[in-house]
Amino acid sequence: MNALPSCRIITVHTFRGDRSKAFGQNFFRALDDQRNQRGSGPSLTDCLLFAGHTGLSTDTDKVIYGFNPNQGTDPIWQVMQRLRSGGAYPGVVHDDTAVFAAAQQRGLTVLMFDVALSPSSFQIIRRSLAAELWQSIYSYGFPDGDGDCNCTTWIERLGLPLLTGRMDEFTAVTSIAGQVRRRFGLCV
Amino acid sequence: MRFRSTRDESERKTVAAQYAQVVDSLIASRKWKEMPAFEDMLPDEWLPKAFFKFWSIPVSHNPDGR
Repeated sequence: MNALPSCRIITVHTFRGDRSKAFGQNFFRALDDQRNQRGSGPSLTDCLLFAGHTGLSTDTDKVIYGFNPNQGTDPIWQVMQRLRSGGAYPGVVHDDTAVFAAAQQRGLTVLMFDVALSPSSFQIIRRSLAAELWQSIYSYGFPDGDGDCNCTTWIERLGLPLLTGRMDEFTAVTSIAGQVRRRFGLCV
Repeated sequence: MRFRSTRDESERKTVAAQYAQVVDSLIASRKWKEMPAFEDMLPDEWLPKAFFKFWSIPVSHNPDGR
């Protein structure tokens, strides 16, 4: 029997946003102030702390990379409106390590799991990640909107396998049964 | 979300009306403790007035609600 190859690790990091009334009120007030030119709006970190975020790191460094909308000159309130309306933005990959640290400092639970890959599969993902860091080929959008993916489904686009194939795991994804149609990007 | 998968105004109105009913029932339940995720929210101009009132968030851009 051949020996198992030494695996390389990619770690997925994710947290659910802080959607408490107190945080939400401050966040939406900041959005409204920005919309009405009374303030500079919420920070991008606050935006992600409300929304939640997903990113990945590799075993070569500790940086957590995340997929985000490249808002250009649009203010955040407009970005959120456009995304909720089904619109999309070009995607951009950031070093979001500080966002995950801020989530932890805020008491949000940051979940992490490792995906063990063969060295060749790992290199394929690393090359995709490097290319994405240079310039993403994907557009950012909310589910069922015009974008290719959001921060979570971007990981899938990179080709990182998230399901092991265990039926109990797959059928436990309750939304599989709860949503009879899935729309991807501009395909209806 | 069905709202984002269509650009048809009448279909969006139907979805928004159903969304408003869900908002009303959540408010009536007195158990609505967390704001919905961004991706589960309609754009501001389509959100019912009751949503803004319940969460005490500004509605100045949407004075009439839907």
